[in-house]
Amino acid sequence: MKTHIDPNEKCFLSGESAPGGRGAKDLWLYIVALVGAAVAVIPATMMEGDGVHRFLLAYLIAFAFVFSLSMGSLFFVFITHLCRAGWAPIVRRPAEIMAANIRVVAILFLPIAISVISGHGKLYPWAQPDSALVGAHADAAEHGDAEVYVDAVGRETVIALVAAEAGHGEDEHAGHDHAGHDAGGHDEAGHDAHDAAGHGDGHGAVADHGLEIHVVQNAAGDWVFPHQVLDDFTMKKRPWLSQGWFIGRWIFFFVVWTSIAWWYLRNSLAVDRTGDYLITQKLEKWSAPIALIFALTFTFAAFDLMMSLNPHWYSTMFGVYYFAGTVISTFAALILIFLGLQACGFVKTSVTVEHYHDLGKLLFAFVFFWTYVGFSQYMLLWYASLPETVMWLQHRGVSMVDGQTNGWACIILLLLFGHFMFPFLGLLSRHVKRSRKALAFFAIWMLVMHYTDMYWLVMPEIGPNSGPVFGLIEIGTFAFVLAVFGIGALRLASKHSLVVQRDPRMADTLNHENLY
Amino acid sequence: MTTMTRESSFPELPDPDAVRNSMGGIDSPEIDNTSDDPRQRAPLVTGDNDFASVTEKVTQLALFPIKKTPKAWWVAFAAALFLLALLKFTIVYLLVTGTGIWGNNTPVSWGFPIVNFVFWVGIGHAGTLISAILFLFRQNWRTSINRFAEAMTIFAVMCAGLFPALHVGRAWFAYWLFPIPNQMAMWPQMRSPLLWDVFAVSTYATVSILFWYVGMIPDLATLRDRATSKTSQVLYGIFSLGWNGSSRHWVRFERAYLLLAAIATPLVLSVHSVVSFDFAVAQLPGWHTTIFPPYFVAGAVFGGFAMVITLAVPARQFFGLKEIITMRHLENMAKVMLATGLIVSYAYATEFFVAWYSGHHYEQFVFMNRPMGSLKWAFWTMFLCNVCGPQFMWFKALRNNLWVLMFSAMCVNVGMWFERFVITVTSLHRDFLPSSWATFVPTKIDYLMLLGSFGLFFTMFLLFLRFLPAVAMAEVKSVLPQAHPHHHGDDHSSSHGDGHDGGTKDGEAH
Repeated sequence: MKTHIDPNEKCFLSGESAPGGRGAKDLWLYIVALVGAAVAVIPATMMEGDGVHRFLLAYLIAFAFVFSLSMGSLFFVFITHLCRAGWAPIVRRPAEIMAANIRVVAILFLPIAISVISGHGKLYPWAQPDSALVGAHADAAEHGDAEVYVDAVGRETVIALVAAEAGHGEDEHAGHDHAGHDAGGHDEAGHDAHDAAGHGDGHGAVADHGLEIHVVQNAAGDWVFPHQVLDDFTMKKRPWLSQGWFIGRWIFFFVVWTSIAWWYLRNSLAVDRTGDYLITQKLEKWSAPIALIFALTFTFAAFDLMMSLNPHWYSTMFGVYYFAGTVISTFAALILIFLGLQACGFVKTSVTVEHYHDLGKLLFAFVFFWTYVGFSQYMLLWYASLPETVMWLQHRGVSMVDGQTNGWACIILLLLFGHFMFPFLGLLSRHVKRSRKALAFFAIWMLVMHYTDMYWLVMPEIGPNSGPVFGLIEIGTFAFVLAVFGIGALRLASKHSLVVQRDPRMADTLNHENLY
Repeated sequence: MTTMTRESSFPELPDPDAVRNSMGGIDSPEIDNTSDDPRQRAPLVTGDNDFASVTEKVTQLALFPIKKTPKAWWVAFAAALFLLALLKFTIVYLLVTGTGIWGNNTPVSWGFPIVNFVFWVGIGHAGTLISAILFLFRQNWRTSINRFAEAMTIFAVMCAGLFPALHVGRAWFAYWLFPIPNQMAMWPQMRSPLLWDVFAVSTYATVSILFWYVGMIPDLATLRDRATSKTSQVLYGIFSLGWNGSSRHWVRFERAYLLLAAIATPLVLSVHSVVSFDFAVAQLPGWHTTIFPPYFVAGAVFGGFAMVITLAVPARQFFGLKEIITMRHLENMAKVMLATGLIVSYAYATEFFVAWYSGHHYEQFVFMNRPMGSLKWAFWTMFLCNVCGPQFMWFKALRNNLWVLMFSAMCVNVGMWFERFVITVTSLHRDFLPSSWATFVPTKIDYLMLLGSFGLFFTMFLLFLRFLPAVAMAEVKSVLPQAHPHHHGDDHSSSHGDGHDGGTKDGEAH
């Protein structure tokens, strides 16, 4: 028989104050952060090729990861209030803390903001001044198969073909009419990859006939994807993708998110002190408009962070896709946080296997949801096969055409099996969700997969000449970002109780039992 | 049962009007159980009800003799039958004449039939969402409304299935949609999402019927045991599959119900996702956008909940169910409608933003053509109904006003039909070549068929209300405070105050 705990009695919380605390206990995190930063920066500056580009991409992956933790936690906090979830209050405090930690995430955003302001366009190709625009047509004959565009300051950009299959002869220029092309009126299987610099200028685009990868030469002479130079197609999005407006809206985003997250934390702490049910009622009431604000800001954040890496590409689903992964990472993190705390002797009585079971169920549900969203996005892009959108998949190793898959195919296959099939089957059973060890394994697994997912979204932008790369730069940036995030979260956690107290739904959450 | 052979052995039912009006009848006052106080869960059944009174209220709907059927039911049934006759007439006319009687043209080759199909399939989503997903989410308030929402689902899917079957032109060959081996070696186009639809919708219909029927077995047995005539006793007896209420039956029943809920949950997502693929796999601006699957699912739940509200509000008034389908239920449904409506609005906004962001002038043209082109009246009707209509539901006072609630739900019913119209027609009627542009003008038959499909829907629904247990009695009883061992009487506050009531989370509203 389950023991019922009196919510008005506080003794069950004794000894459940925070770990870490101020002082030396989080010193190791500072060390990890410093070592991580050093490990990432040193090889990035010393490596051959564009180390800065790779560093920025690796940093963005790590940033997207911790951003997920904060935003997913915010989602967890408001959605459990919105639904008046009776089981959830006891596991809500770490989520409130991770959400409030968005202020540290805002500091971690600085390198990205600086890279945008600096105008070199290495991370986001659109983050360059207008003077970097390519466009004027030059004599293509000089370069044989290539077309040359001269930008406003006289730099040449060469569009060429790289044959993926040696000896293939289908490299003619297809003089397609752009208007008919945009309309999606394709009448043949191979389309020209018209997302090149000449889009909209009336230039003949370059045919790939499904067998060649389309690259251009940028101002520095490197071969890059067509979207990685600032061209007319990207310029069409200038009102949105401009440096000033990007920084402006991200300041706005962080102000909004920080205000909301701190509002929740402050009020939750007030409930701890006073037990005033009116505060809880207020939190529940305002969660509805907050959900709306969250949906809109998070979508544009997702578009900005990762969709605009390829300014030619667009997908209305992208915000939902990132959201699905975000929520997975949060549930996995919450599971691990409580397992870790309990292993250290904290919150041993109040959080039970029933709460793990529910967190596990939600983790499972979102694994399924991620797959649904990911498959829908992939299938629709692939099926319609519009050049400027299907190229995004091609760069990421997804192609049905022989000879066009690249090294990134193993990453997407890893996601298919590791992000969906394995955890889907693994988490299906009730026994797994109720076993601490098994659940811990799948929580860690899903965090690794979430990193892989972010990696798959971001890292292929390294360029056409590289397959998947993973090394000290990625490890170092990740260690640095995670450690900084951890320092911020622990500092907050050390000041407050790790579980909510005197919550009006305390009886529900403490006595929670899963009937099914 | 075998002893009950003589007519005289059947129990005498109380006067149905008296039962209906005794508690929760049309004139009885609304009891406010919509409290937001987080300290205690609001009761899900109001009034002085216990197991017996719930059984009484629900069974009397199905069991009272024909001549005592309420007048409101007869009026509604006559109207529904008239519309059904209209549907029958238009179908016969269509079959003898051909699909030329519709307004479909080139380039608008998908007119009303597809619009109506998507509209009705969408309506069908609320039932499975309530019975499967809300079940998994432990939303106990679903118990009062799940039965008739599931019934609604099945009838809506029937209406939906009608239109593609007729749209194939030669409806008598509709079975060619299935990959049946044949000597002509003729197979359906497996790469077409239209074919996926055949499988998605038929799977959905099958699982929905199974779910509905399995859940109904204990209640059918109750009707069998309380039957007032030989015929009804035999018929309810056959369909209750020998249910005797033993604990072994209940254990297996509950396991089966859980498994069916788990199986039905992905179906809620899959059916309308596949319907959205019909549009989204095409390279047509306005159709080809990746958010379509979840957007369609949200829209379906949106439209479905609006229809559940449309049906629930009058049904509870006229059939004396006010204490079982309470203000709390209506409030929760209103909130779900608002939430899904906002998701739909989010999808509209994302589509417009990305249409601009894409830099594609065709995409941009289509999205500007919707609010500003020749069919702008359809777009703005959709916008007003779907985006503005549910906004009243933000406010508790308006949610709890049945007239405002019905107004919002009606807005959504209309708006969701127009949404499908806007998607289908505005993307098609402006073809890539301006010389191919055309105007879509629906014919009278188009309108009559749409109207007639409501006849089919309401006829089925009214028959269901009259002859089957319209509320899941057994499930409602499980959320009554009496169902819980720690129950300390009807005073909820006392059972909460001591923090020992293990049943609080199971028994009450969320």
